[in-house]
Amino acid sequence: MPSIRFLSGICIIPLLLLLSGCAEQKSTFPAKPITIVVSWDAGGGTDALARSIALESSAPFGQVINVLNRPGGAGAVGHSFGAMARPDGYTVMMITYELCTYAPLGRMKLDTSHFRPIVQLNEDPAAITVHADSPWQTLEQFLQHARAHSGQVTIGNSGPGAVWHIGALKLEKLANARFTHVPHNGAKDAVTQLLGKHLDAVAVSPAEVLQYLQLGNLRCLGVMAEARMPQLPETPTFREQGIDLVHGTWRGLAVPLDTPDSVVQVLQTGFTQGFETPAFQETAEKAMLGLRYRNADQFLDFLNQEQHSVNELLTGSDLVIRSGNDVQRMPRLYGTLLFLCGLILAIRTWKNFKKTNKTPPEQSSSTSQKMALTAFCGLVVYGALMFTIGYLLSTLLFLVTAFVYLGERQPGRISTFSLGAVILIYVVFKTILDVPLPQLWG
Amino acid sequence: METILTNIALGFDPSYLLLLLTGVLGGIMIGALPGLTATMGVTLLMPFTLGMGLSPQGSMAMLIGIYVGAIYGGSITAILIATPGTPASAATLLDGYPLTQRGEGGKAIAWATVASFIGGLVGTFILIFLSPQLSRFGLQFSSPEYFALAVFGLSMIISISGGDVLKGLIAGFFGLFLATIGLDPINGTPRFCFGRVELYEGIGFIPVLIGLYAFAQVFEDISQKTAFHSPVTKLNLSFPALKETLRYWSSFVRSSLLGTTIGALPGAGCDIAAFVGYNEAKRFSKHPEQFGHGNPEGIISPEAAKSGATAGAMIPMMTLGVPGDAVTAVMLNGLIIQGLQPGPLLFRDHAEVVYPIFVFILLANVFTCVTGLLSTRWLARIVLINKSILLPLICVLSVIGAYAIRFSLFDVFVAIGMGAVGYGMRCWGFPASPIVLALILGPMAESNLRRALMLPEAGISLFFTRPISGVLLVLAIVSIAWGLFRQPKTRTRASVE
Repeated sequence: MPSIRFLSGICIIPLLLLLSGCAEQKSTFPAKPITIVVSWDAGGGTDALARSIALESSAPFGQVINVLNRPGGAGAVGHSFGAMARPDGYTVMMITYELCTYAPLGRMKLDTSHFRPIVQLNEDPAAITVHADSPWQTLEQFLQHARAHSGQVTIGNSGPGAVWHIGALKLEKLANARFTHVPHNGAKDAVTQLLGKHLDAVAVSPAEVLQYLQLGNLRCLGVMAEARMPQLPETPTFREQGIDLVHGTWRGLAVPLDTPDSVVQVLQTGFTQGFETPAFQETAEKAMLGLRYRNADQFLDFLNQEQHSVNELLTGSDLVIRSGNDVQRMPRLYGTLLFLCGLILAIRTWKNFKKTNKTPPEQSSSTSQKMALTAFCGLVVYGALMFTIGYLLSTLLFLVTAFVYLGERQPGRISTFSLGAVILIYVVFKTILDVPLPQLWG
Repeated sequence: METILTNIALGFDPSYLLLLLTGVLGGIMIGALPGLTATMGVTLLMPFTLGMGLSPQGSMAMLIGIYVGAIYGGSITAILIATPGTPASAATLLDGYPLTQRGEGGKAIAWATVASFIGGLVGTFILIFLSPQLSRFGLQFSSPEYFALAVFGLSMIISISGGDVLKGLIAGFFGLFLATIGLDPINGTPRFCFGRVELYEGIGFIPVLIGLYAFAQVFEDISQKTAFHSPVTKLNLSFPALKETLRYWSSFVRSSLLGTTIGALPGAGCDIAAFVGYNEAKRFSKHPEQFGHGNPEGIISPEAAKSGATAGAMIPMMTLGVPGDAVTAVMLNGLIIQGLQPGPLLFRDHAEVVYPIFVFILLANVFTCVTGLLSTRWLARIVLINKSILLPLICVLSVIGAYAIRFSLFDVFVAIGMGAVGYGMRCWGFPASPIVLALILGPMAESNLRRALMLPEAGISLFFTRPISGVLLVLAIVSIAWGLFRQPKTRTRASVE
């Protein structure tokens, strides 16, 4: 088969190109694409902000900027990923308000002191919104009702311990009322429930309810900002209504603590230029994201202040997230049921065993199961190798070994398929789809 | 009327059609690769469409193409190599892969393609004509209703258990238990995380899927080395006859309607729709014992349901500005960045975007169908590839897929570990699909139950006095009773085989 030799020849060419591409690193920063890590799902406000700053900042850096979503655990997963990234400036974290809350809430030992801020991009206040059909026209009426019906008023939020939840907790304390806080999987879910009148109010940002306010489906009772919002000139602030509460989220870019000064300088300049482009400002306005710029030093001061105030708020005060005792109830229920079913199965098997008095037929094929075990071990080794010697070598090694182990003996086929697969996967994932693979080399 | 026609004609603009076709082809590829999901495809291409300066119609054409293509593409690998490309395809695998093993993979794909097309068609017509009614129905769903829906879904564990209900239940409770790992949804307290932040977001669904199906299948194939070199003796490349397909018309219609309705609920998507479609087909079938052994209805029903659900998910997005699932959440954001606010005003102010979107969904299904049918004959030949070549390639693709979903080494080992679990389960006759179902529905059941119990008027009676949740719970109880009652017949048959 001459075509196979020809094919493998063709496969070599992109591989060589790829290798030469790797060789020419080590010039000035940034010499390769930068990645912004977002600790929230694609489609949310933080994600939108990251994607538009990435788009507009790629020109000043002269590099592509990718966005990587690592959602989960109310942002805890992404933030810890960002903090543990290599401090070379190529992984930039989009930090949000929630970063301040993990340590005081006892979730993990990570706070703003683990990051070096670059720029702040955004600031959005919290707001209390009710359904348009509800009787409450002002914040005072709403709070009076809440005081009279302690614990009966439900307030939806975007997730336990998230910034809007804390806003509602602060309000509760200041107004001397008691709400039932209902956490949802994101602000959109909470707003949908309010639209269906399943909640009395939601505590989310004005941007997340704006369209329903314009349609007249919902009514915003007040924003926790220092001044009225330009999009909502009719809605008073909390201060105007006699409650001294300013609360909101902020978002900005940061890098791990050990990142060198020179790199931080370059990042600050580049992202500032991105921030100032009309395109970014326009996108932010359309997505209703409040713009707020602070440079690295100002952002650092601000973060220290925020961290301090959140710590004070959440530790040693009665302002804790009331946890029910039912956290372990479901796992326990499932565990018990699992145990019961297992017990029944064991009894049944034992009875059958006694009846027929012979071992089940599955046990007989131990030699072939050994091959499955070998395959399992091979995969574990492959997985581990991929992160030590890199994608290219480990995949080649794995494929060639596996082909030979499974009885393939033609060198032509082995080389074609292993090289072809390595390159095809690289091209499809990395080049076309831009999905990061593990590092090419160790 | 005339403006409506002009707006519809706008959707047929050649440049949009080209974008749509590109999206469909790219989507099928993304869907077919394990680990790359529709959500990921749409998210990745969103900034791209914005960066190219596409009009809202252009970018929607491409994104809808990817969405529809990816949801369909997941089934190709599910049917051919027992690796569901997207979670929604896990139900198709149950009857699709047995057909491939019999050498009738081509037929299976053809059925999946046609079912997907019809589901999409029905879904689109419902989207066009019944959107306001369905979205109002969706708004009635609160925590008690979603809890009841999850329980109804979990009652399916009995019917997808194969021969042995007890083993199915064990797999199901194991899955439910796995689903509780991570930060709990109401208080945010870590559960079973052992201080590892990777576990905070829970055990990844895709890595488990890859492990239970792809790796377990590889291990099983390797351990049966005798069947290695002539896997399939005769390859049947003929298309199913029209008459044969028409016999299943009730499955097509039922699943499409069910799928669209479930898709239209803001809290339920394609994956749940596919399993419900499968289960209802089995319930109404005259031969429920053939399910799991390559019954065409077991392919048609989940395919029609999940395809209907893609159109259904657009309903709350377009009418309320509320996403129907994760993919439409990303699309919604894209529309907002383009300066359009989905919701009731969209129909009044931006009809020039709304009507082309209808056209795109319809045509995306047509393109998917044509592409699918044209490539069937070639794809079905995959079984002719020598297993000593195919299996290592599946392994590499699965490892990369498990990594790519969250870029985490941890997930790779979760997948490999679940592969060992899945292989063990196969050896001892435990079904894998209850785990998948439990992972989809477990978090939904728990968070909504606890949320419902927080309500001031809470109590067990709440779930039965609210009409929708009451009906769903009664259905779930009937479904469990029916399953246990019907089961002995199938069990004797299974033990005979």
